[in-house]
Amino acid sequence: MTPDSENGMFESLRLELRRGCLIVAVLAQLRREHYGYTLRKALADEGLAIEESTLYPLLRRLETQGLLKSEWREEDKRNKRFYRLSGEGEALLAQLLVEWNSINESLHKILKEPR
Amino acid sequence: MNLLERYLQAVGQYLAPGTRDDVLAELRVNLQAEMDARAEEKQGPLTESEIAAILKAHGRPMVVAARYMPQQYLIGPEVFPFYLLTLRRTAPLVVLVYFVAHLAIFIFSPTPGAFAASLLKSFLQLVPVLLISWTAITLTFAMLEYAHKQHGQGACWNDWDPAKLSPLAHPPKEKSHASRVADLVVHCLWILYVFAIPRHPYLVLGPGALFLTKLSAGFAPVWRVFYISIIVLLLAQLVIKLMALARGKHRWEAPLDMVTKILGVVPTALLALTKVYFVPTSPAANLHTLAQINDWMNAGFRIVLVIVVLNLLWEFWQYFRRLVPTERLAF
Repeated sequence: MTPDSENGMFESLRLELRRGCLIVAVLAQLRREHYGYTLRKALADEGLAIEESTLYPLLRRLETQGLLKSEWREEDKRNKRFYRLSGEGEALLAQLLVEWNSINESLHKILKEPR
Repeated sequence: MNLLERYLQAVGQYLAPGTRDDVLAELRVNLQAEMDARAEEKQGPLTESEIAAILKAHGRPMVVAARYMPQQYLIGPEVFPFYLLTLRRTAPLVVLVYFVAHLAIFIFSPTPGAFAASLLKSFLQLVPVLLISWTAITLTFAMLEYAHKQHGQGACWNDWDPAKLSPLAHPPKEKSHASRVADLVVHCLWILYVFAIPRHPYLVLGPGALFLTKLSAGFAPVWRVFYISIIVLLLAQLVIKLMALARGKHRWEAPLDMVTKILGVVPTALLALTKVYFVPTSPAANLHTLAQINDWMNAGFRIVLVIVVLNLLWEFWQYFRRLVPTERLAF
């Protein structure tokens, strides 16, 4: 395997690994109200940088699915769209976190096993 | 800010009219917030090139807009493996049926024309035929996908029974030494039989040899060429069989066998493309009956040629499948 193809494979697997985690992170972060830019900043501050062109459409999709609710409101003399987790979103987040913790635990156990 | 507005205008061109204004308003606020934060960091207004860098990092307008569109696909991930498998399985079948049909047209045509020109024409016409078959399969699967989406998560794609799986395939048994010896003996007897034919035509024609004498007809020159080519072929096979007996199974055995099978088509093709098999040997010969016999034999040899070519294609296909690793072939 050449270094280029190795990097390509790592990048592809990394994206795959991140894809599901990002949705959980966005839902978790939106337990507190945010608009697009501050949400992206908050996630980046926690070490989970997300591209704007990925995050903003994702917010709309999650809202269409009923997991988020949003409202236009003025803040600092600018109209902004604020997102927050809906009731349905909260229930789903709880389920996803149980799944996430279970995967995490299993992975830790596997990694602790002597080789 | 002119650049930002131009960017938003470009994104808006690709958005659905129903959500365009809402998406652009949200995008404007987010991008402005980003620019404000950068300006604050820099402690001064952003230059045109700095704004351009932010917009470039945000993405090409068409791509950005596409991400806001509902996710649509012609054939979804659940149906796609079946689609791919069908394409891979039907492609060789389409090619086979196409060439068999063209071969039959070439053989049975009253004016067959040049073989090379017909072959080239067939190859050129194959492309649209393949495209049409792929289009038909794609449309069928697109309709299946649509039906799948309309009627919810249909279980039919995952509905399978492990008990119905094919039994475990066993690798072909290698020929035993005794079997190879028996094969060689039978082949030698066959060669002796063929060698005896010119002196004793009844070995092939049976009572027909007498009928031929009564008809005052004899063999046409094509039989001489046919006979020589058969003898050459039988001798080549004899050499291969002797080598196999002496050295056991070798990797060259199968390819050589394929080559002799391909060469074996030549004598049949020779007969199929010839129209005169029997010629009058005296002026008293019944020319009408002779012409009829020649026509029947020609039709018979053409049918035999189609069968031989089909069998050869099938064997060639089997041989080719064994050579290519299964994961690459995937059908």
